[in-house]
Amino acid sequence: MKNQMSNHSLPSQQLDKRLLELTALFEISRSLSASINLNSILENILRIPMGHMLISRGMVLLKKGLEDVYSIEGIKGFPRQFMGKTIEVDVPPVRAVSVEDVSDKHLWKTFFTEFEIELILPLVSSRGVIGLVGFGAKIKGDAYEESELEFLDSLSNIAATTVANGLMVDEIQTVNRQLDRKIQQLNTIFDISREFNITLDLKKIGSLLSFAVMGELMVNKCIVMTRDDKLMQVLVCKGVDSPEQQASDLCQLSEPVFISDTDRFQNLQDMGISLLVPMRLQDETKGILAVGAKISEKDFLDSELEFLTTLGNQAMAALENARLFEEMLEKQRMEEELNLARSIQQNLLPSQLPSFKEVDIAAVNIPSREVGGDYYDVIPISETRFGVTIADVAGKGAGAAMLMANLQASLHALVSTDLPINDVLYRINRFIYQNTGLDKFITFFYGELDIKTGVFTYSNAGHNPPMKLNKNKQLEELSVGGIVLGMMEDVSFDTETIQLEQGDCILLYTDGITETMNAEEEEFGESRVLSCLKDRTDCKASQIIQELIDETRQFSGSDIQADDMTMVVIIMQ
Amino acid sequence: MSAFEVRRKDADTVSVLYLKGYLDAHTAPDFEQALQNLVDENRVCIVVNMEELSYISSAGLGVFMGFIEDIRTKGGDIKLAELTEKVYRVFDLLGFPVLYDIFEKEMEAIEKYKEG
Repeated sequence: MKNQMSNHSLPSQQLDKRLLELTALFEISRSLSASINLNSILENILRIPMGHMLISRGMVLLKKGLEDVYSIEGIKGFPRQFMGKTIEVDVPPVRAVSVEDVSDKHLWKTFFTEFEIELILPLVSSRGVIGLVGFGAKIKGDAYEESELEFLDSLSNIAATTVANGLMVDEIQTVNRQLDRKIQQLNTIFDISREFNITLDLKKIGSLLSFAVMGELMVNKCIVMTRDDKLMQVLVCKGVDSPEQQASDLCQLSEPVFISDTDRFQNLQDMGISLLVPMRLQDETKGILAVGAKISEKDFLDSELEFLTTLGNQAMAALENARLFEEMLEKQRMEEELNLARSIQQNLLPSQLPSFKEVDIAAVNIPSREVGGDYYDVIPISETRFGVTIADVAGKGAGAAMLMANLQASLHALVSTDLPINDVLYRINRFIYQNTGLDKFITFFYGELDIKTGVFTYSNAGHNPPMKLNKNKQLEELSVGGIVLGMMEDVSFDTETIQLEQGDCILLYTDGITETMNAEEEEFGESRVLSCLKDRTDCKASQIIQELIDETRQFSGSDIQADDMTMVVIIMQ
Repeated sequence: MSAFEVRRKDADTVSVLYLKGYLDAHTAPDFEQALQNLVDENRVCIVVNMEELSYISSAGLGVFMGFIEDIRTKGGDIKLAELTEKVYRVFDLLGFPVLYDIFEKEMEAIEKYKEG
């Protein structure tokens, strides 16, 4: 109060003015406390004094965070575009001051001068200065009186608490919204995980992941890639054309990367991808989630990167499960194919060998796990003659079994026609050549024995030469013939005729016997077969076979055989 | 899983999709298919009526995002109408109102196409 205005001598005009001021304060107080909306609080802080004192312009600045930076949050009498402008005010005034009186060393003086703000009053709450209110000149041009300054101080005191409350409400609303976003993200993860658990379709999993990401973050480009050895293959593409497979450096990513922060992945950047999130499983990057920019052009928040990482990893686990399931199915299919091949092969082999008084015959076929293409047969031609064959079809599994079936059928058909042996081989070779690719061939031995005369005629098409041993343990290899079947179309074969004597023994075998390996990767070899044979010239055919099997098993030290093992033994009685 | 249904009504150049039930990760592919059909038929003036939609998840919103650019390039749009408060809250939370026209009534959305 000014001293010269003693209470009893106040002119009625001044009394009226004081009353108006009090009314205004009451109005402010009532309107401010009725609102928790920050904007309407700031509006009223400006509007009431401006109306009351006829001021043409005013602004409210609020302190941002812990810095001494204030930004314009409410404005009257200025263009709206000044909203949000900031200024650093290092030492704010503690009560209403005229800008003119502010020391020139405060840089912010210029800021307010430029805006033609004449008066600044601080908003002081329990937290200190939280904002500044600035007013321009009064329209009538007269200076602010001391009583008006007091009035404005009272006003700012009342307003400060309300503004502080408004700020708090604002903050709570922001936090609430963040919480809602978090809940939404969790819902998404929950929603998606549930779906992942019941899906084994790789593309569908990728597609769901894309949709969740696009909806959650408001992006419209999304690529999901999965790792295939050293490359990243595109699984699903939304909003962009599918890029080529990506080189190995994507596999090295272990953290989310913004493409603009690196000089790599230019091709992805050109497509509008801005963020790469590795999808990891057990500390290994197994896939990449590539995401375009947000439509709002805002930056990705840390919490959103976490969300993408979590969702990506979840998807990767589901993708891996689906892949393992597919692999298991594939394995089952292969197992079925093998079983089929095994049963074809077993059905082609003779279930029972013909028996003759003059000859002791025994044979064996032990298929390996993968089913090779070994074949043997003893085919009666007449009462005194039979054919004997051994063959090895290149390759394994069903393919080899089918080719063996061809061989068996054509051999049986030709043997019954009484053609010379070299003709039989010539025709089978043509047939096999015409019906298979060059990667398929057969090593083949065929001979015919007259059991009355002991005359044996044979031809060998590239098969391991059968061993003939006489009573004196002298070895003869039966190798006359030609090249393997199925390599060339027009090939002729030689035949050899030998005379078998009583006690002569012939062993037909496949390379499954001689190529049996021991732990030192040494082959069983022909010499061991021969010496085993020499030791047992007086044994029965079936015993010789059993001994050879036992010897190879002992040699390899294992029950697992790499290839089929097949033998036929013929002993002249 | 909760039931979800998409029905479609064509009126002149505008097609209206009526969504019903739960639109989540499980049912999103159905909605995607419905939009894909419209795009394939080159019917790109689309209104999605969500009066009977009781829930939408991010995966459902993702379907909108996957089509919007393509559809707008083709001169069309996806306009949303008759959202329940609960559904609108999700759209709002994720910032959709900035990007999509949202109407209270289906007719308003259809009228908007006729004006433009």
